[in-house]
Amino acid sequence: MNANENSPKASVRLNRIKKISRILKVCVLLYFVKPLCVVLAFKLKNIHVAPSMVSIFNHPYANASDIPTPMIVLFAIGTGICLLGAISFYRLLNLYEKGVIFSGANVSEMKRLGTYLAGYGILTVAANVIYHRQILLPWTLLDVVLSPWILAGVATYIIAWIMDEGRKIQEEQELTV
Amino acid sequence: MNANEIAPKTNLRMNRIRTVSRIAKIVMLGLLIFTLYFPIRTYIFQILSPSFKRGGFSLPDVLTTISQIILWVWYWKLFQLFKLYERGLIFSAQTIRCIKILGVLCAVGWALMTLLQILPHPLPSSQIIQTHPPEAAVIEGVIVSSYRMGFFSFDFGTGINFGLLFAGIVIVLIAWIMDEGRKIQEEQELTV
Repeated sequence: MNANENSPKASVRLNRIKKISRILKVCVLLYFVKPLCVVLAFKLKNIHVAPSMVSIFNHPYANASDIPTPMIVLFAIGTGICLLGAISFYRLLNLYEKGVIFSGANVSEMKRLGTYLAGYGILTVAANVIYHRQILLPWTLLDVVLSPWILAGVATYIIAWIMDEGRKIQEEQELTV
Repeated sequence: MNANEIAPKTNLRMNRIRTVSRIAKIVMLGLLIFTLYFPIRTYIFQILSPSFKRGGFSLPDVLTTISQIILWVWYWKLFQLFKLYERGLIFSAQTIRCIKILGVLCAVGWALMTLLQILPHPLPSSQIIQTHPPEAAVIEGVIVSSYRMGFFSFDFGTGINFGLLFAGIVIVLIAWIMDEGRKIQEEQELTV
């Protein structure tokens, strides 16, 4: 195949990848800006929770004062995990924007994303246990097995690991004389 | 680097990939069978129930069934993905197509769930009593005012959770990026 024809094709593809990655990066930044705008606009002291039902991890409470402390701790950890997940995703998009698509750094970020997804899933299971104030067997086990977060997290981690091994195989084959 | 040293390393890696993919495949198949069993058993009991014959299926029933089918297809696609990895097809077009389909299924699942959320829900079809007096009051819906705690939510104040839709779009876009990367690599390999 003519090398002169290849380079423009590869450039066109790389440019498309860079454009899509840039758009997604902007979306991630906007997603972060939204709650910060809410906090700044209403000033932290003046934020009031409306006098109505409060839902945390999809569990309803009559009002905010009814929420037990462990649930608030889980919520704080969950927010931290969401933040870390979004940062990981942003870094992955950064790598795609630079044209780095199948490197070890990409795989590390995907593994981290998988870990955060699974971690969030475990938090939702823990929240269920706290809400019901007991471990209901076999329902708690079913929660763990069928949790979409845990399943997606584990699947993402395994796929990232497989891609890493595949990448190493390709590199080793390239070094073969 | 010594070619004799590289081949066993490559075989070792391929064997590890095959083992992990096989385990993941079995787990996916197990989950699929598990999630198939309970709804099918419930549907069979409903169909055999005498009161069901008068009611039939309503639109929410149909949408719920379709969402369940989408979930099963999702598990089946994951099973196929790990089957492709087991065959050693890691960066192939088939693998990437599989990942794209998973993303599309997420988006379709979101659409169905949102439609279910928006539609008014009648009484369960198997419990409709035809002798109900027409002048009796019927509860059409309950509006619950609630506040969901969490700054990083995906509903943007609309009451509709867009998380699954975004996840589907992101999966499709990342699969597309990987596909473009694969094509670039193939084109570079063909360069003389």
